Amino acid sequence: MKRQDLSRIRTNNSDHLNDWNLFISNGSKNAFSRIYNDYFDILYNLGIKFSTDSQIIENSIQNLFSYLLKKRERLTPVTNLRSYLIKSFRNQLFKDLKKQKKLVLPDQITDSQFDYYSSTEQVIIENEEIAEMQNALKKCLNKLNSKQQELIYLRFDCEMSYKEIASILDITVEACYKSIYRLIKIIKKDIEKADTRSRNFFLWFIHRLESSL
Amino acid sequence: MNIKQYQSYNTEEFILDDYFMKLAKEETVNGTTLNEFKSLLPEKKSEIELAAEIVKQIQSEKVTLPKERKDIILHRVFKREKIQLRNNLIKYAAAAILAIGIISTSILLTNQRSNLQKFASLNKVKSENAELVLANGERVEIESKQSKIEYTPDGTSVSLNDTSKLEQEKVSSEESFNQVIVPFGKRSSILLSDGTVVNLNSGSRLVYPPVFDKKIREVFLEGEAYFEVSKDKTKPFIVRTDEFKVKVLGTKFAVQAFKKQREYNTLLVEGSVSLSSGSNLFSKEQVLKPNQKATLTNSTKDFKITEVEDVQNQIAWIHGYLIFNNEDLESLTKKVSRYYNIDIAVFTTGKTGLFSGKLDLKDDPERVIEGLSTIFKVKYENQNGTIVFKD
Repeated sequence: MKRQDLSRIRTNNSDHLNDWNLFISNGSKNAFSRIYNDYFDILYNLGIKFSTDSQIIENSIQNLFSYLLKKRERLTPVTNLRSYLIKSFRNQLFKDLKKQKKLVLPDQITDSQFDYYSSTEQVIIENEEIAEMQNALKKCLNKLNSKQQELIYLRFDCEMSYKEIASILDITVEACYKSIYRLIKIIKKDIEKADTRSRNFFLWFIHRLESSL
Repeated sequence: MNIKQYQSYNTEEFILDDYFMKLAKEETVNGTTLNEFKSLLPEKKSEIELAAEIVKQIQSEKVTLPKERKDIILHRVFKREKIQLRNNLIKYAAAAILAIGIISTSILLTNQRSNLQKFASLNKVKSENAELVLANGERVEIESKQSKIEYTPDGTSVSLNDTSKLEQEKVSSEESFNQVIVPFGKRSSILLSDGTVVNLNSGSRLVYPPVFDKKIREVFLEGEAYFEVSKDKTKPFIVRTDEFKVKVLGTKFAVQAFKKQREYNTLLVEGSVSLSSGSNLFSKEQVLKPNQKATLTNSTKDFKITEVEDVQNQIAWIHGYLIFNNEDLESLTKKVSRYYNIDIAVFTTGKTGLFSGKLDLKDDPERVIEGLSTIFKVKYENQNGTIVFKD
């Protein structure tokens, strides 16, 4: 998947807000389907931070949209559809996971479990050394627990503002910024600690950048 | 962007900055490139380079479900399907409760179930073709899409499509029954021995005695049928379904009893009918007026009454048509899907427009699907047995 795929759905996308209003006021199935299709990936990829069971995540998405359809008349216009859907989806997912008692511990998450659905459009790794750094980063990200992975996901994949993230997690903007700051610190340290080859690569990489300027 | 604020930034702060994140990911923001930004802060060069690389690489692994899978989930949302719990414990517990439920209700109801109902539940027939089953158990296949079955008043002789005649011995309506099974995509009209005409819609089954020699005339229906009951004030006519019964003296009405979809409707065209649901102990009664439709609610077993404007359109299938009045693709496919028993999903993004007109039910489902795709200018494909309409 290309980098922009998740972040392209911006906070104030007027098409989406328009679709939302069409849906809540007229029950437009087409508008509803568009919202579903546009937000599915965002929600699904958030879900896999908390469960390795695709079925559970799919069920939670189904539950969320069934709920929206059922309670349509009670829904109100929103200013930030993305935050609204993510927040509602989180609540639904946690409820469903609790019901199934399948809240997955972070250490149970491994790469191999996602092989089946893995995107074919993975970034082509042109350079072995870049792969090295990616590896170190990936290892580090995999060590993070679900909530930490969620933070990284919302900030760097969805490119959300701290305010948006704070409202989704029901924390203050300061707490949100601090948490992400701490995570980045861990990640940076990990990368710097990575094996000599990587470190050499960084020196080489920076050197190459300098010489290319 | 105020360049001064960045002069004291460390790597982490660059990574966390909104503007910097955008710059690192997109290389250019409002005409400023990452390289230009870097040249404005020469003393922060190494921090910026590391920060930019981390921002670019930090994304978590993305997983994308196949489009078909997403479509199926959306389809379920629209069909309001309940999610099946995969927790085995819950499943077994539910099965146990269900078993207890069945045993206790069958004890309660044994005495109240008529011979007709017992026969109906014990003698289920599955068939590709329409079939007429006679009292002695003989099964007669009917190949035509639209069949006509007519009984003589004494119930011993049956004519099939005006061409062949079948004979059966006279039996009491307490003992044995006949039944007609119509598979999906076919219909049948039955003239019963008392002169009542029953139009049996596709995917339906009617069980009845060859002759009505009891105090009441009683038939059993699964699926959908339209009744024109011949007047006989001394013998009320009762249509039983697995969930409710309709009692009439002489009138025209339609009954839908779709067990699988849990849809139970009665539509009155002429005269009056009285409905009751549940066991005799807790039965709820409801009288219908013409142009009213009664829908049995799932939870409380009450009847919900609605006024119906286009009664004739709703029963147009008895003449071999489905009539549509300014209906969209979704609404059309729902009816077509039921008649031919095919799963149809609609995934179109724009408005598909409205359609008025009639659909000939003699056509094969393939032709109907093709027709819909032409009228609404949408494509369709067969996905594992489900017809999917899309842009």
